[in-house]
Amino acid sequence: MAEMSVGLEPQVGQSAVIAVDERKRASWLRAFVARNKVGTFFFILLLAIIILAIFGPWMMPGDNPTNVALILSPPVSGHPLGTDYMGKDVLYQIFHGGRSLLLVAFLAALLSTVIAVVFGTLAAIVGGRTDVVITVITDVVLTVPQIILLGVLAAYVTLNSPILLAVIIAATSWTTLLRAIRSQVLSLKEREYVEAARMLDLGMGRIMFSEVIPNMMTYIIINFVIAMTGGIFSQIFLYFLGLVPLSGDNWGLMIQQAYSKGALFYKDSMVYILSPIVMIVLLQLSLVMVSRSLEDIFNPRLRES
Amino acid sequence: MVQQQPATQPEDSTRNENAPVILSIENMSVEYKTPSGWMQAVRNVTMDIRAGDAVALIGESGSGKSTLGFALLRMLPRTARISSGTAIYRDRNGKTYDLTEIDDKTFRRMRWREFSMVFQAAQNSLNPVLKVSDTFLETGRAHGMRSRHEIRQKALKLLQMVQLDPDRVYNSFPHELSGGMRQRVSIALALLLDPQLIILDEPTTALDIITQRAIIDVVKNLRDEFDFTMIFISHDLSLAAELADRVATMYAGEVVEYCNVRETFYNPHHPYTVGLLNAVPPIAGTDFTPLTAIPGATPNLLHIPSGCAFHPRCPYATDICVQEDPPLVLLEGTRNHLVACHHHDEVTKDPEVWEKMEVTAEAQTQAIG
Amino acid sequence: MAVAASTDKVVIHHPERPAIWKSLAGFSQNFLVRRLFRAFLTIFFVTTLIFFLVRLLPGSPIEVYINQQMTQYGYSYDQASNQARALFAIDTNQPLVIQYFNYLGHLAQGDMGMSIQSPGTSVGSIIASRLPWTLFSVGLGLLIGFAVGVGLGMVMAYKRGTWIDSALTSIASLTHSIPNYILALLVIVIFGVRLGWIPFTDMRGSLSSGVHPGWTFRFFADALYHASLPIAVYVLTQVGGWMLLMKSSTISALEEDYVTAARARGISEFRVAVLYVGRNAILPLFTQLTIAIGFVVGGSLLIEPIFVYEGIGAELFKAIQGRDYTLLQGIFLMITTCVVLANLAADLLYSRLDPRIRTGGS
Repeated sequence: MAEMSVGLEPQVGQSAVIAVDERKRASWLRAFVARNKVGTFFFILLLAIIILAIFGPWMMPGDNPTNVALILSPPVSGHPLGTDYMGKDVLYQIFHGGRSLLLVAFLAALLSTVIAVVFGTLAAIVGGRTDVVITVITDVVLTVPQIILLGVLAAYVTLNSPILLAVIIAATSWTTLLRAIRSQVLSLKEREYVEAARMLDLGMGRIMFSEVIPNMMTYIIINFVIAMTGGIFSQIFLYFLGLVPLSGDNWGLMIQQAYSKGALFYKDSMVYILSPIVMIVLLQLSLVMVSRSLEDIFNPRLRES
Repeated sequence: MVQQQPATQPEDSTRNENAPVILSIENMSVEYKTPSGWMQAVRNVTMDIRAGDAVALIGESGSGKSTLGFALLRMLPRTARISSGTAIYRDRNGKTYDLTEIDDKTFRRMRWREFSMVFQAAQNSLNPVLKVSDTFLETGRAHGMRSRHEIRQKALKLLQMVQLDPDRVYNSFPHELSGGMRQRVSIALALLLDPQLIILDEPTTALDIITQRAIIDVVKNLRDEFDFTMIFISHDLSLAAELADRVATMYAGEVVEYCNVRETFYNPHHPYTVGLLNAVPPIAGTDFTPLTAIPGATPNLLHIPSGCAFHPRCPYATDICVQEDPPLVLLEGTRNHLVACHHHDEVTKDPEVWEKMEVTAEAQTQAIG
Repeated sequence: MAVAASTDKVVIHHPERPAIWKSLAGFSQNFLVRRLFRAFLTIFFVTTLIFFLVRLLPGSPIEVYINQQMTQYGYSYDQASNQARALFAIDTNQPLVIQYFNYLGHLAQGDMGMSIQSPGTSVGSIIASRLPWTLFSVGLGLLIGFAVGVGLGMVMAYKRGTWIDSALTSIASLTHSIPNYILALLVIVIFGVRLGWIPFTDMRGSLSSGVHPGWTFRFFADALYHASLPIAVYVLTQVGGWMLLMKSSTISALEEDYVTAARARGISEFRVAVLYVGRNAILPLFTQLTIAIGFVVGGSLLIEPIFVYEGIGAELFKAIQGRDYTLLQGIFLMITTCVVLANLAADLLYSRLDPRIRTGGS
């Protein structure tokens, strides 16, 4: 994955060129849609889920009262997806339960990407001892099963804020990306412009942020999307373990409750249980497919094989 | 088919002049599927190869020489196909097979027993996870050599003959050997089952000059020891001068001249052969003529020029060359010098003809395309 | 399983470096030595992390426990810390450094303390009774998933461009994107509850009552029966990743000169596929094995409770939910040790398969 199309991103200060680039990009987009129908479909699906997650609470305002008369109901009028173990409406929870999930996944992905990019680049550029230390630490953390490390760490802290949740997920999920970024930079390092920048003695920070990272942007974006899927996976895992304080609506919490309150084994609750599952599967699937399509766009060499 | 003529001129005879023809290629064409259509890589090649001959296929890259070799051994990539032609192969018992027709199973049995190959970039032609010994054993066993000991003895003898330390190399992995050593192993491997015909595809290209020299000597010695027929594919005329009995010059998928090696160097009759000779330093003799490159570039095989494919680059070209593709015919007064040129009787080795030539607009376009 | 193409060679370029770094670098050239070093460091990291969490984190479990003993039962601090020492195998009255080395010493003797939630039961004995089931199911799941993925990946590569390839690629992408616990829930909800095809309640536990461990067919068949749902989920969630990796790896191996050369030598297509294509194509997959092992072992933490399989994952699930710190630390350490050993085994196999690594060549 050494090849990257840098030209697709117009640089600041090249306003004359941007107009041309924009036009090129539009026709290129059309070509992509025509050729990659599956990718386009999942792009749209992902957008739809994101919109539902962000605007859902405004689309379905009000509160969601418990109703002891209608516990674990199959879909009935007024409750198109049935009710949960307290008689609460499932559809309402679907509309309200995506926002924090996506927000935390986004934050966690952002944090772990930043850790991976900064330290991966540092290891590759500085080399020597710094590289050895960072590589060994990464290898060690990578060997410990990530999800178990996350579970154990989470048992020692009270995960009462989205930020804390994102931090602890990011703290356990930066390893693979760091390794990938490091080897990317090692190959970028061989290229002339980095060589030139080093000759000019531009300083490490300058080289990193003005030469190396911009050239890895597409790669980083693709991996950011993959990190989002990891963030969702980890959150639902933590909800399932019961390590996230149980309040508010959340797809992960819905699954945990369906499991812990036994709704899982109740035939009438099929739709109730499947609702958050389907949402999560579609979200994960569209993220994975979108990352594939992005790879397809930015790295056409892989397309042929 | 080569037309048979009574022997008249002693200097164009070879040691094999009366040997049986073991490979007779007729009208063979090979094409590649590309996004912009079928690309003609080999066009109507007709040539005979006699037992014991060493035939060099010479040409620039893209001339179709390697494709022809791969087509004969049924090793074309999935995107290529033989679109026409036959290749009649005669084994040592006199039985004949059409290599383009026989079924895969028979073909697989014939591989390496009848014909073997030494690959270009032999560095990568050995499996990195197998020891040299395993490669020999695998190959022997695939062809019914049951005894491990027998294969080992044969392999050690061959490794010795290609001037390697047999015991050490036999027990090595490919990555423990140098490029030249791996190429020698490939040559030894090619001889494991005493094939009648060996095809060497650019056998020295990836090697340094001293190693090239050593490989040429090894091949020469082996030919004296085992009486195999050899086709080697190269862009290197000096290699042909060293090893070949006969030289087939290829251009744009066609054989344009096919004659004994002395004729190629001292009496060439195709302008392209002359151009190639002028473009490299002379191998022997004292006439140090200045080097001249052939103007233009090899044609785009998707758009082969009309008539004689060489006409846009040829100083002798006239109208007929644009209209008609000259057939490969026997040069008058010779027994087996074949040439495909409308003006073969005018062709001389004089480099001034080329210097005077103005590159036609068409040749320019070809160079760009 | 995140699939990221990467090489993990420790490359050290530095012209002037002190002798210790030089010798360390030379030392690290040997693949297996490097991996042993990593294994040792990993276990060291985990034990130290546990000590840090237990002892140094503000509001750490050991302090909470001591305070609890003092306020609830009126123990003196000494009494309470003695209690804590028995549980955690850490003596809070000693200086920190001594505590740390004592703790390591206890661990080295296999003393991981006592369970908080099940008084009088040692962490070691709980682990000993539960770990074998997880090793069995996770190990089998890993092996089957890897083998099937590699096999199907080769089929996809050989049949590339056909409907078989596109069908398998779609299936691989789908199973690859579904989280393992979601898949386990779907199995129960759809095949167990709705369709009633899978008697999942009967399959709970690790053995049917009346069956006892021993070298009997009945025991192995029953163990397999009870482990089959977790194994199926482990296989399904990793097989897609292996398929896609093996497909691309096989496609590039098929283009290698040595494959063409082997065919030219008349080696049978089957042997070419196994010895020339397969054996070379499988090598790059080993760099992903560490992640896969961690992924499947981690998965047991949720898969086992969902299917009520009585392995170490289900035990850890309970320990986390009940904040049974001594138990969860012991399990964490044990699982990591197993993963490290599995990695070492994989590395050993890798170095057997690739002579270039074994002899430290290019």
